Amino acid sequence: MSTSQQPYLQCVRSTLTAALCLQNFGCQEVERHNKPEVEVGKSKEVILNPVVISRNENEKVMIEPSVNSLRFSIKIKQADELEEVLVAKFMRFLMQRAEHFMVLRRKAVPGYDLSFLITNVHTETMFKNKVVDFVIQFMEDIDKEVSAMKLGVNSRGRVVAAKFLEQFTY
Amino acid sequence: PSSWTMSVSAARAMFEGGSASPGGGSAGGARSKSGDGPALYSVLKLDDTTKRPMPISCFAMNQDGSMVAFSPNNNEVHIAEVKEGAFNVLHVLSEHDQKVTFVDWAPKTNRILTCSEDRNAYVWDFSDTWKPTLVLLRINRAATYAKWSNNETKFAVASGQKCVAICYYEEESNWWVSKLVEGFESTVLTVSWHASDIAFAAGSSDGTVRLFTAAVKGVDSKPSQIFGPDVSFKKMGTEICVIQTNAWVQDMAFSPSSEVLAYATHDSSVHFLSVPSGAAPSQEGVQSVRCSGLPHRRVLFLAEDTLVAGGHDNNPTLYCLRGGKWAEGKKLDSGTSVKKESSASSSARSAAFKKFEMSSSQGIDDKNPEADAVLTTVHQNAISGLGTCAAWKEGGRSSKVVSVGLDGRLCSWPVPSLEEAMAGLSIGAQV
Repeated sequence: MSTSQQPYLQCVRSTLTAALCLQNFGCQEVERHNKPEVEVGKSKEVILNPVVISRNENEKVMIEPSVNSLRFSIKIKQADELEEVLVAKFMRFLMQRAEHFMVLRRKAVPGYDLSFLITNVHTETMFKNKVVDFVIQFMEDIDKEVSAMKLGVNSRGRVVAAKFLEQFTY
Repeated sequence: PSSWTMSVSAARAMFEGGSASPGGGSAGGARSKSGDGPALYSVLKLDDTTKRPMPISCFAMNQDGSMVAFSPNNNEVHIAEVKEGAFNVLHVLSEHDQKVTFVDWAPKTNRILTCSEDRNAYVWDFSDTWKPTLVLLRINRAATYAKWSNNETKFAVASGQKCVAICYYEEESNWWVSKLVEGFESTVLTVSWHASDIAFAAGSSDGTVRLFTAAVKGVDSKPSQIFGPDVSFKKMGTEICVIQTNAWVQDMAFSPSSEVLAYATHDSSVHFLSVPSGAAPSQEGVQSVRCSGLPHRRVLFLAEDTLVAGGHDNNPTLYCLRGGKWAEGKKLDSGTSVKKESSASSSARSAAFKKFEMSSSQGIDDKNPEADAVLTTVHQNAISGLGTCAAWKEGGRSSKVVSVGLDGRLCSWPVPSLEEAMAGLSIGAQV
């Protein structure tokens, strides 16, 4: 938990708490339907302005609120090509299991690595502050996991190369 | 998982020897840790499979506060009677196909009005059981809000079709017919009747509040020019005025004398529009008060000068009129009544039990002990309904107000006097 990240995470936390004031809203385009308005995108008046909170040009978060749903997209810091591949594979792994997470979206919003879709059904059944805690914790853990994986790749590469080259020694 | 948690808490109770709080029954109460006293809240309905409280999406009370009607966030409406603080569900009204969005109880004629996302509204009459009468609403989108007029001969239903349906009983056809009032540009979220019953106000997600005429031939007596000579009541549904706001209008209410129209908007403000007799209301008559927290979802007038608002803060807040200006007053929930369990006195075994139970069922771990799942307010989720009844009014002021929330809890709050509510107010809390 780096201290330099704290103001950034605090800002994301308070914005999320405010944006998560969701309520049930019957679809006004299609009768007897109830859809997340941020995904439909047709009724402009019930969708609020998207907010982008960026720590630097590589790390940012976009929050798109609406009356009954919220889309939260994260762009994870990827310093080099190896991290880009690792993040892509890790996110793909998580997004394939999106129904276990309940609030995860199966495809990330273009321009971002991972997206959450939180609807009024989630805020009615779960504690709102715990959902926010989960998202913030997720953001912290992702960075740690990616660095740990990168170290793991490098150390495994070294071990494999050493074993392979052993056969050429005499 | 739920049976495991209950067995763990039962095991903990054995070790601690204290009083375990059982969850069971269809309506449980909760007492504060310090011993006997009135229950802090009651859980209205537990889900049958998971045994968790079901969120209450809407609620209404009858004239003397002895019965409540509520919807547990599905297509049913439950009628429960209140006996010494416990709630027993007497009837379940399940005529709707989709989620019930609003319930209103007409106190004098004892009729219930329900409306739902399935484009229908029903009027329920009681004679042994509650019998529904379909209302011919003629809307093709969800109904979002429904309110009886003050004399209970008409009602208004707001809908996602960007219109309001004013319904009255037609004797010849023997059912309720509607007249649609158009003029909005988005879903109408809330409606409130003027005291005269020939005009109403409606608020919508297009950020406007509009007043319309609603005098129906045959139901209302000849209307007088209450908004001045320019406003004619000849045609039903003529627009009297349009007030612009910056955000979606969540809920509105006319004061008992209808001098003031209060409405809460999603930008965390409560606005007060003065509705004088003899002229149409205008944008200059709006006083806006910035809330100190998250947006409010419901408002209710307790007296001519006191309004209670509840919403995403989980805390009912009073707004009071003092010296001609409205300002935010006391919050009814002081945040001290929910007592956290002190772990210092328990034994090591129960502390171990508690640690594993907490981390698995509520997501608390050692790293962040102060992040507690239980909030300091009695309501654990947004407030979705506020109610008071005629029996609790003393001299024009309500002495008690009831709030229900999406956490399934119903709490009743005593209303403080005006002096107590205004104590500790800061000057300049206005936009």
